[in-house]
Amino acid sequence: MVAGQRRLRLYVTMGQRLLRDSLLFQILLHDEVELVGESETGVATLNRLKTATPSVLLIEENLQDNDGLTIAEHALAVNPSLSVLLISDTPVSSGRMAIYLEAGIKAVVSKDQPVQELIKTLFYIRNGQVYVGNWQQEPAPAAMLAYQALSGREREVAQLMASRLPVRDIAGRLGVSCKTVHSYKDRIFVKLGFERLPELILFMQRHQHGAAE
Amino acid sequence: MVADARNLFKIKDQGMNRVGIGIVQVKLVAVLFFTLQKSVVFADQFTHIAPGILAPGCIERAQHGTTCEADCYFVIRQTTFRNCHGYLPFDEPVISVVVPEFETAHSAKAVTEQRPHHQKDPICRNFLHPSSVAIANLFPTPSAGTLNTMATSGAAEILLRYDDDQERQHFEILFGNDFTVQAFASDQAALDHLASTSTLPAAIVLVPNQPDNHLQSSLLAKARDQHPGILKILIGDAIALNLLVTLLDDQLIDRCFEQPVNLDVIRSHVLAAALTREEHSHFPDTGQALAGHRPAVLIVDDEPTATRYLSRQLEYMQSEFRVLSAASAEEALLTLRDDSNVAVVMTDQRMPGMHGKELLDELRQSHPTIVRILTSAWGEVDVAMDAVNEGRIFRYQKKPWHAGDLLILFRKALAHHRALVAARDSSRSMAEQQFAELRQQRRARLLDHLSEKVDGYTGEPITADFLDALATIRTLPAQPPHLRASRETALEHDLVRDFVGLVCRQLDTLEPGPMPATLNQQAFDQALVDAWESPGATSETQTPLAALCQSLATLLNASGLKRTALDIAQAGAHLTVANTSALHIYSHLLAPITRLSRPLLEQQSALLMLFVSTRLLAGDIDVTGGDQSLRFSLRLPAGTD
Repeated sequence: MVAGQRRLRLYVTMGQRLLRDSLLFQILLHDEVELVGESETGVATLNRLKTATPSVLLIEENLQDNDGLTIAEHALAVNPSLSVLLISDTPVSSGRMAIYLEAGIKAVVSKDQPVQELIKTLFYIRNGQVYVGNWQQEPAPAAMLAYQALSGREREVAQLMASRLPVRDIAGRLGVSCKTVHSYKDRIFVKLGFERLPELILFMQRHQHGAAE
Repeated sequence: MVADARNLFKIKDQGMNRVGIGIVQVKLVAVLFFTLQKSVVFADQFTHIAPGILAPGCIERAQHGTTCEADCYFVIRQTTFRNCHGYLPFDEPVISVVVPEFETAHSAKAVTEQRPHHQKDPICRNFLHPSSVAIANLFPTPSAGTLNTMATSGAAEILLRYDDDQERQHFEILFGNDFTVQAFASDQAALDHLASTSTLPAAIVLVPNQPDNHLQSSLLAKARDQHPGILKILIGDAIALNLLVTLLDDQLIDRCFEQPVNLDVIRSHVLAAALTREEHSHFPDTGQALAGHRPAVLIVDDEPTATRYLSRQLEYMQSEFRVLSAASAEEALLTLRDDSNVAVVMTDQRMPGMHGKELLDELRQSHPTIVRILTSAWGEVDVAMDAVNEGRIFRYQKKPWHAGDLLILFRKALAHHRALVAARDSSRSMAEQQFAELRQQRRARLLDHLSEKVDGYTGEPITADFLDALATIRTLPAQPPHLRASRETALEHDLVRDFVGLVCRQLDTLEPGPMPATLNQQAFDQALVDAWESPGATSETQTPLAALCQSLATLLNASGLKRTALDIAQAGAHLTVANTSALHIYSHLLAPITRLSRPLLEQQSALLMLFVSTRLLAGDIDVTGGDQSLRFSLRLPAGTD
């Protein structure tokens, strides 16, 4: 990306605190993102948008008090430069997608999609670009393929890491240096496309009875 | 030594199954995807090059410190790394590959274009990582026939114009899953297809050997003139700035990308074009200035002497437009805020603070009818391409400027501006006009389905009063998506059905029973507290007072207001209830709607129930609509006790 790009000033409107927190934990790991405001309802969002001056609005379609799309349309009427990412409960049809795009929504992510997809989309739309992901197709189980391509030793390290063993202990157990474990670790992350340990832990636990065994 | 990366293909068949690749620059990776189509491994930094190994069908970016065994290593190198062999920590055979385009056109660029943080950049990462690149689709090489049948029937179509059969194959492998690809090796064949087909493609993609040969492309020219809705995309190994500028001048392309392309980005451009495609009607430029003041051209450059001189020259040469100048993007935005007649903005790219490209991105959204021109003395083709693809610039003007050229350019830009404004105004007034009809129909259907039931309760035309009250609330003007939602989805039908259903359910719980003996402020307060504390308790039967308070609670909640927002007062034999702060009504039954939602239906039915229950209590209701807001005042008969 171009150097000196503006920071991503994010406003989040989601009804449920638990979901909002979980999403923000993930999103705020990216240091370009700055949370400038959050609310549970559409009315509160419109009240606060002017002072918060976000560049991206992440808003749920189904809010408690109002329709998220209606709120987004009003937010855009006030600030046309706002990039709106709508979170839908279910995947949208192409007919609806067309309506959303025409209404000025930059992207739609459904709650059926993985969080990585949401974050990717967030970065694509940050400068006002429309992003239409491959929203109707099942994503390829890429991480699974990549996992199968790990070497035996790498899988062993991945499993130990996923059981939250510190690097020093892994090194001791395998009889190698910490530096070697670190380079295994780097390689596993690169190969699987992960950036952080929690992603690896989730992946390993989720597939414990599948290929990860 | 292999002269061209494509020749790697030949090596692939020499029994070398495991191939390591050291690579300096991310851009070249895709060349290798295409070329090797088997296990590819690459390291991203030359100084600590150390490729890893992966199973066939997978791609890996190895990091330093990795050990591995490969049968053979490819090293993609830049001219500056001519003596790179000393860095390579392995004894296996090394084949150096110098990609010609890389060496010539890009050698200077490669240095400025380093992406040191690409591991952390999700977009870049997406391009590189196995998790996001459709690897499974990259490697098998099915024939074109199977790819076409694989595409789903509803998939958008891409018309591909290629020179080299291998390029076609690569393209079909990349995009065959998402789109129906119709490939043609000549303009004529493509034009014949366009003339005979019943469904137009969403995009025409050109993947030429020599982009320069397509400056006179009859295919692109025809598409521009006859099918302005088709997106025209050029994908080249290396795009020269002059080529881009020329193609843009002739409006032959809408988007331009260098190989390797980012799948997500191109798919997104094509899908967005396919989804939102509508009839592009032409608005002939009448040459008439728009009403109001003379239009202005704003020149943004951090060299005030140059702009001052230029604006004087331009002012002297003509009287059709004013020339304004700003020394920074920030100053330009202030100028735009004060002067609503700016029709064209020409901005320099390199300025302190906000860059030209960012300013144009901003303008594209905030002032879509202002024609955007980027100007630069630095031949940065990447910036120009981004400005075309993301900023949708009208032209790229190289520096130094010549007043004569600029006068011609600005005249064209002003004509384009007039066309944009005419298109916008016509689309607005058309949407308003067409929605007015829809609104009438909707109103008639609601009245038709509701009045018997609702008015039967009180014997008064409550439904009509309610709909009249709604009509006084101003919402956002109708836009094309609202029309689309009303016409192409079941919105209109569902709106009436769901609303009528909800209202009927609520009316059924209403107990017309005996009137409360005496209504007073205390009783009202208590009823309101009950309603507030048990929201949505409509399963049991309700007295009119409970229903009224329930409606008030729903309406206040939907506006984010507390109970204290109600002003309740008793004066003599009347209790008055009014809202001190206006209710927020962002959408209503007679407003343009893109989507039917539960909160909307509940809020609207609460408002109707407010009318019904007030009348049942023998009271009066008075409502005043405002901008997305509503004030009401109830006057209920009350006893003094």
